[in-house]
Amino acid sequence: MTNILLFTAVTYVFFGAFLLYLLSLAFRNERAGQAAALGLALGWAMETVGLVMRTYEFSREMMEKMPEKAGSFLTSLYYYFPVTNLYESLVFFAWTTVLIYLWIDYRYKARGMGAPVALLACASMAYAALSKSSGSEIEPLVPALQSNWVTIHVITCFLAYAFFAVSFGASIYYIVSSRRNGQPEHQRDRDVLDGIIYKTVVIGFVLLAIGIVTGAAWADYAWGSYWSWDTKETWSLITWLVYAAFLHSRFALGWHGRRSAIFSIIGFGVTLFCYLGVNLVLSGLHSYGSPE
Amino acid sequence: MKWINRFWSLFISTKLTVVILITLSGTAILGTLIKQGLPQADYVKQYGEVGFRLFSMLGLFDLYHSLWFQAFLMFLCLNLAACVLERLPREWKAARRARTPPAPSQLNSYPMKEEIKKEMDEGRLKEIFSSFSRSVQEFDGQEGTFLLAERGRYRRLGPHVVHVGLLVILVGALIGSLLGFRGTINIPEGESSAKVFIEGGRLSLLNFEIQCKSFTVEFYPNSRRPKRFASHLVIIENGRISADKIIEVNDPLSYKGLTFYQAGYGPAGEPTFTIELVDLSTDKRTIHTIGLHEKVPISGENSYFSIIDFSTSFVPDTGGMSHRDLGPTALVAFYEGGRTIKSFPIFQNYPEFEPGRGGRYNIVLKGFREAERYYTELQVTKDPGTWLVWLGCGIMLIGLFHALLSSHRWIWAFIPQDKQSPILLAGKAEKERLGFEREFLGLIEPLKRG
Repeated sequence: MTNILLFTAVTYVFFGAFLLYLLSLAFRNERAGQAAALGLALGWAMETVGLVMRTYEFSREMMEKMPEKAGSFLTSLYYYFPVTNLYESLVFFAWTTVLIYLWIDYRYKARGMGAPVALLACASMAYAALSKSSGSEIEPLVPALQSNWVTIHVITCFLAYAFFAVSFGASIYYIVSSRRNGQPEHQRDRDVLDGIIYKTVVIGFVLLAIGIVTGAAWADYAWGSYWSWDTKETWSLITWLVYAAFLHSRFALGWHGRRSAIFSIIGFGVTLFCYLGVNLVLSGLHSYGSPE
Repeated sequence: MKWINRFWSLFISTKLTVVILITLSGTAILGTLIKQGLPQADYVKQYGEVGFRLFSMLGLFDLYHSLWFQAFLMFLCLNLAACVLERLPREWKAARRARTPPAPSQLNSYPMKEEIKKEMDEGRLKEIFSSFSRSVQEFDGQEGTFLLAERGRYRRLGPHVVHVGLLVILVGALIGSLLGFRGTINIPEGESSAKVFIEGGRLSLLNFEIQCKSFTVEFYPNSRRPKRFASHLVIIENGRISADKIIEVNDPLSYKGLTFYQAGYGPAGEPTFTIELVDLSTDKRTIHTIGLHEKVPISGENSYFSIIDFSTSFVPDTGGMSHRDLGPTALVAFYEGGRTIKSFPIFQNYPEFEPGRGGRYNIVLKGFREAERYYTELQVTKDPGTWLVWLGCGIMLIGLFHALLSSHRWIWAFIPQDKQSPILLAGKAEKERLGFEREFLGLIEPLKRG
């Protein structure tokens, strides 16, 4: 399938962008930084094409297989937005992470954090491609996944993960750049970075709250229980609590800068475990993500 | 009374909240690492007798329902409630309080400030202030005039709204766990039942009957993957039909505070098999159509074989390494003189697999037919707290949007009496200073240009 080839190419483009970011950081070269951002944008555009193609194929296939459910093309697009398995979710995760970063880059000119973000996006795409069992084939949906809540639940959760990922990228750069000796950073740049770490966590936090609530609504509708302490459920709550602690430490205890950055890194570690670790290590209802 | 005050101030401190949040996360993690609700034997196998006793005493096998975890949640509730009680009235008053102009020297300590030296007409300044906030207040002092434009003064209430929402959710959950239950009902097609198997092992009788008029399941082409399954349910109370609905996954039936969900299905009754029996000594082949446990006589005294177990998709347990589905598989047992002498699996998809296992006889699974009827598996729940949970979720989300996606921010202008001194503009945001900085600079941009 063409979209998979395209996604493979995107992986390399992201990696190229990462190398360019490193070059620009190592040699303080503005040009390389611009090229890197352009590369990232190019990769993102390619990925968008791939995603559109995949969604189109998927919706078409579903319309053929279950016309009574799919309805019109638009409703089927909503039902079958390609985030139904680990492979698709990783691709979507990379896509949103890069999109958020590009917007921040455009708005705040915080280019240094591009390196960790590009590497993360590349790693996500590579992990998707390498884990063969992560379902690069389009699969029909079992009844439980045929719900109006699914798409909104899944999209808000992955968007939240992506915002946490961008916050993580900013935090890594915040810590690494403070250690660089000989080149005093401008305080303003650091404040901007600190602001980005905070703002992305806030948006991710709200999105994760929506994700958890919609997930609970779906579970209540499908299984008659809004909360059953399923491992994925529990870990998403843990993630939310950790970021809640982040926000409280910031508002009430005045933590910011380095402390906030470290907190955000820990938070992303928990997020990653919630996203991937749970399916790799533990088991539960959300088997869509398990590598068979 | 001093210690009460000290206790109270510790109780409402955010430090305590952070500690509770982190500890709660930690204990919740524990519950995902130790599998919950397994049979006792599995735990003994995994942790040993002593480990089992210890963990069981600590409630680690049903952690989320253990007394200490619930007590912990309760503690969080109290902390939340105390914080709301302590701070919400104060913030409310602060938001409603009439504003008074600060001393000009105070304005100098604002993080964002700008002096405009040139002659400025007040109307234009007010216009710009109005574009920032709908209500611009004006104060006349001895030294000059103050203008105040304020936005999001109620934003400070947001966090408390979130906390109220969380409290409502927890109260709803508490009501659900005290007054509600969850269970399952299995009904064969065409039959009816009132027996509910409550989670935890109790059996309960409903005061009405549920009848499953029909059950349908559709599969995706060439697979056993279900595409849709549905039950036509009828509720009969006092001999009268009082509800009638076709339910399917994601479309339940609600009746008198109970909700019935389509949870699963299975064959009601046993399948029938088509078996080919090959007598290897005479090469005589016979075809038998038999049910589960049905005896098929073979030569010899009191000798027979039967199929004692069956799976449509058998996945051998290889210790977690591979999970290959071997397809329809039957377990065959040979009997002689009433005793089992051997048993082994036969595979419909692999008829050639180790043919010598039956001794003189070779048995081939030619095909099978599922029972004509299915039973439907329904999940029954009663949860009178659900509506509170959704209400709380709504309150929480509104509070989150309100609190986090914007902030309380305000701008003062000081226009001194003597026209020679510069006009002072000063702004402050309660949080998210970065965004406010852009807003402030954008706002005064036209003033600087004149």
